[in-house]
Amino acid sequence: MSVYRWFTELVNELVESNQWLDAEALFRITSTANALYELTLDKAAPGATSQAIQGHDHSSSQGGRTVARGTLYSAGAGKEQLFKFEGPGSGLWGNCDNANTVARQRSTTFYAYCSADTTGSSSPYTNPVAWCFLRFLYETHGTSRTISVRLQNNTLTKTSDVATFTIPGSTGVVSASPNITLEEVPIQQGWNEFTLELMSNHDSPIVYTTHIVLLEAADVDGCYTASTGVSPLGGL
Amino acid sequence: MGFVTSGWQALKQTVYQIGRPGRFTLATSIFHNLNGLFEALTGRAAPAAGVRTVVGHDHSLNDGYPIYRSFVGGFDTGETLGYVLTSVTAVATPVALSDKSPSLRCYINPAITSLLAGPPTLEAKVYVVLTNTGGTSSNFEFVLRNVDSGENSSTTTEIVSSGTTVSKWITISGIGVGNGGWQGYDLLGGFTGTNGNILVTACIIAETDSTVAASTGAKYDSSTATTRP
Repeated sequence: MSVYRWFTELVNELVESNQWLDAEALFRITSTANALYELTLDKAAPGATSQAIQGHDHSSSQGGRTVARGTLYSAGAGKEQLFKFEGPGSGLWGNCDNANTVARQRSTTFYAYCSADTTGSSSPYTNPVAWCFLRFLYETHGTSRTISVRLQNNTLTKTSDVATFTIPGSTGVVSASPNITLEEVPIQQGWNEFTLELMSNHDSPIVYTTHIVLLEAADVDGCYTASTGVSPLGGL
Repeated sequence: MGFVTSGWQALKQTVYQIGRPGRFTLATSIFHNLNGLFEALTGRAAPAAGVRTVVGHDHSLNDGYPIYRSFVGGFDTGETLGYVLTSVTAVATPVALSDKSPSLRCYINPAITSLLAGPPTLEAKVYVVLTNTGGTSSNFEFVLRNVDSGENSSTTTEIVSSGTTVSKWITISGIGVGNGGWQGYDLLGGFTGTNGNILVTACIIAETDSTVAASTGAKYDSSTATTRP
């Protein structure tokens, strides 16, 4: 019994103009299907006693490509803080890490590796995008303030959508922000360089970043285009 | 709505050997398998299907094997002191920057070396703060060591002038994956000068395209495939 695993050309000429389905076309179809199975799942194709295509193996002889999905970056400081921000002034964006010990301050907050296509050319960005979940820590200082949050993709020179949270108008209360979600984080294939930026609508409060998670979610969450049942995700 | 089946069936050459006409059983097997692939990859019902048979990535009897990913782990201590080596003098062979070994673990495809001529490697972006208080320009060296396999990554070297501090992201490549599965790693640092401090606050480890050799085989890229006239 032979179970072929082979990525070959599946061209229209094989089936157009009502040509008979022949052994060559079927050989290519079945070989490709079996190869897809092995590439994707890294298991021998059904009926095969060995594995020809090594899914995700990265070798030069048998193919395999990275599949980047899910978490792209995460950091959490528990009760402590990752980065210290002091607002540069009302209505001005600043790096989330601009008030820490100078030598430890980062112009690039973090890197994330992704295999997605490149985000659209202009805002509001649509698919594909990444999502970012954030938490912050602050101390109240009398006047209520609105803190805006965005993520700058330095590699693409594009900025995410903006989310906000409020520092209430009390004094001396240390509290955590609610969960903040950015749903239009621009991404591209390869390493992406990100800077987290904050802005206050009133003077220069201090805000600590305590948690960051950047991820690719499923299409149901809006990160990617859902299948419409036509090419390339489906067929007639 | 048409009848859509999805799942895995053996696709054997015997059902389309030369001289045989295309048969119903082969066509349905192909549809069955391709729809199964669609569902395993996307986690959604196949096009035109009312229900989903194969649950992608669920690791259960419904199939759905794990699909391994790019970001495999690391750490980020933000502004807090992370991995450090202080007041060192001439550490010719890089030493661990943490007293815990392994200082971090990552999960790698456990099948990654079982059938292959050569395993891939990982790549890391590392944020370092390097202070050279010695009298001469000196080198700081970094290595990620796979504790389980004993493999050292390539060495990344940063030259820091006398009396200065450099803060930057560096790249460490050639990080070994051993036999896959859970792998323990230690971050090592070295210094060729007379008085230096090392502080590392972030390390992001990923499988990247730069660690993937380009395919040269017809099996993958079909470079020798011919198009029917």
